[in-house]
Amino acid sequence: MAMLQLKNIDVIFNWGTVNETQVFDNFNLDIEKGQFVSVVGSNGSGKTTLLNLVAGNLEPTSGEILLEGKSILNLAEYERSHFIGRVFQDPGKGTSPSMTILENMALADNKGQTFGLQRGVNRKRLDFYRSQLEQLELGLEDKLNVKVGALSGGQRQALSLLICTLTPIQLLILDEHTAALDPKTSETIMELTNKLIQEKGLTTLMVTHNLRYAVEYGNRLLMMNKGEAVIDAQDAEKDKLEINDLVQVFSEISIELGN
Amino acid sequence: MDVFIEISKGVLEQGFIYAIMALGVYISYHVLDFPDLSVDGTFPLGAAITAMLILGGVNPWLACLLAFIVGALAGLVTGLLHVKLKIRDLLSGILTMTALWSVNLSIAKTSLLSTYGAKTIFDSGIIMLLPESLASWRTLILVLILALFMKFLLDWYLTTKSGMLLRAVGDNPQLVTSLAKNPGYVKILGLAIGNGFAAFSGAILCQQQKFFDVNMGTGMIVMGLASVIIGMTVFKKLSIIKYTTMVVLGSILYKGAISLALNLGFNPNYLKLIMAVLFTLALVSNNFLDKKEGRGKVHGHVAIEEY
Ligand SMILES: Nc1ncnc2c1ncn2[C@@H]1O[C@H](COP(=O)(O)OP(=O)(O)O)[C@@H](O)[C@H]1O
Ligand SMILES: [Mg+2]
Repeated sequence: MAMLQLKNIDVIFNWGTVNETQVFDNFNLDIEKGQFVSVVGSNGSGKTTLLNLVAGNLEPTSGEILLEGKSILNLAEYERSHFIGRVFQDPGKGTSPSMTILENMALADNKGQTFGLQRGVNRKRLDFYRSQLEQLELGLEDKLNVKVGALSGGQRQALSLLICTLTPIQLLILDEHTAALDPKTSETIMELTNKLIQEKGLTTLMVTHNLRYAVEYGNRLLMMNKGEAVIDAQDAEKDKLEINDLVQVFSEISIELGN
Repeated sequence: MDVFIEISKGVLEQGFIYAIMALGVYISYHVLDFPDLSVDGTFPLGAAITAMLILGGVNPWLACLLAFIVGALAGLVTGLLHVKLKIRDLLSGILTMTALWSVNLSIAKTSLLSTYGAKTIFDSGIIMLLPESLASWRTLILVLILALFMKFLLDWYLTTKSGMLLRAVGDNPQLVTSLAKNPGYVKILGLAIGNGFAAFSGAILCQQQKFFDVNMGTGMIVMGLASVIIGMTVFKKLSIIKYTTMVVLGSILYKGAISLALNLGFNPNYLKLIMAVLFTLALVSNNFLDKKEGRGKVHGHVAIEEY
């Protein structure tokens, strides 16, 4: 059974007004367990809307969303966080800047449990946090008591990735998570992302502006246009795809759209 | 010299009592990033409840505890207005504050209620173990201990799991959502605690001054914010001391500055004006320092709007 299923999804914004926009019309998508799906597409093609639907920021006008066969539609965003991790474009969104790296790790470590009056940081977990931070290869394991607000965007984004995958999740959502970083840092974070996904075998839905990342990483590629997948290539078929193929489809679409 | 000691003692007594309220404001304003005006109502609420309870012969310590709890319930109302009814933060506080005016009057049944003759924490129980020679220092010693106790209690709480979640929600509500917790509930909890502190502070002031005045809450939020901001501005460079300590010291500095102004011969009618000027000075110097260090409150991330 697929890990994530979107069934007959309709999304209409500002329904019944002059600004009515239909983003999805009977949209369907199945993502298998362990699949790493990259999503590309022009502006306004519905990528963010897709992620918002899955994460719980947006209710579809109609349709069904299933995670491991169970409907998640009536779960709020924070409830879906039990199963879904998300890294945002803004590196500030995944961590608490006024708290130290250690405190951020301790918070993440406690996800899914009660947040009561127990001591917030468990010293016995220190070695585990260090070993996790070592994987990032950014030296953060030696900066446990540094406030996250003092870290660079790339370091914060790496930490965000670690934090949202520290406890088991069924689906990882990456929301153009390298777009706010400089090219070199972006590259580092993308490699790190791939490493974490492979190690933990995470089912992943990644929206990216970077066609090369979409081609190089993951085992499935979707190209969205006007709420439809104009390209959906998996495994061998995806391996054959090159950036040029994507650029070509892109420009055809652009011409069609009149730009 | 005696006059000076008397004045300083008065400043310290007031400073420590109001410091507890300021710690409450610290929770809402600084930890939660929520400008909570309910404090103007919950401070006198604590006093009104205490007045009625101690006049009725209830143990004055129990009265303080109950004041804390009722204050927390009022904070809960502000939180529910904001989170459940989606009313803006400032307006939620104003609504609670306004409603509490009537609540406080109906609890005390009069706008000015003397508690003269009722047992208080300052003239009964444990404080009486102090030797007679220290009698005139009883109040100061007790409020010092109370302010420090509340400060350490808050310090401890903020290092617990629940307290860390509270810090996270003011910093970045999305993180709390990602931790599978409802940020709204966490905010409500924080507002309850902050207003519990304010009501507790009102309860102590009521016992110290031996009366409840329905107007005693007016300007509390300004005083609380001023204490928070003055303390953090003045002691910013001393990174070894905790924010909560800065808030307590800020409250004393604030009371000291007001007392100084009055003793220099300023007309007491200008008290509120002096308060506002002090507050403005603190705010401006705070902004100035932030600019010099090239950073604002740690909230400033690269905000990238979708759509
Ligand atoms: N909250 C909203 N209200 C109205 N229209 C929206 C809203 N969100 C998205 N849209 C519209 O839906 C379409 C798809 O947007 P989006 O999913 O953000 O595209 P992408 O992320 O691929 O650029 C766009 O036409 C956009 O204007
Ligand atoms: Mg988008």
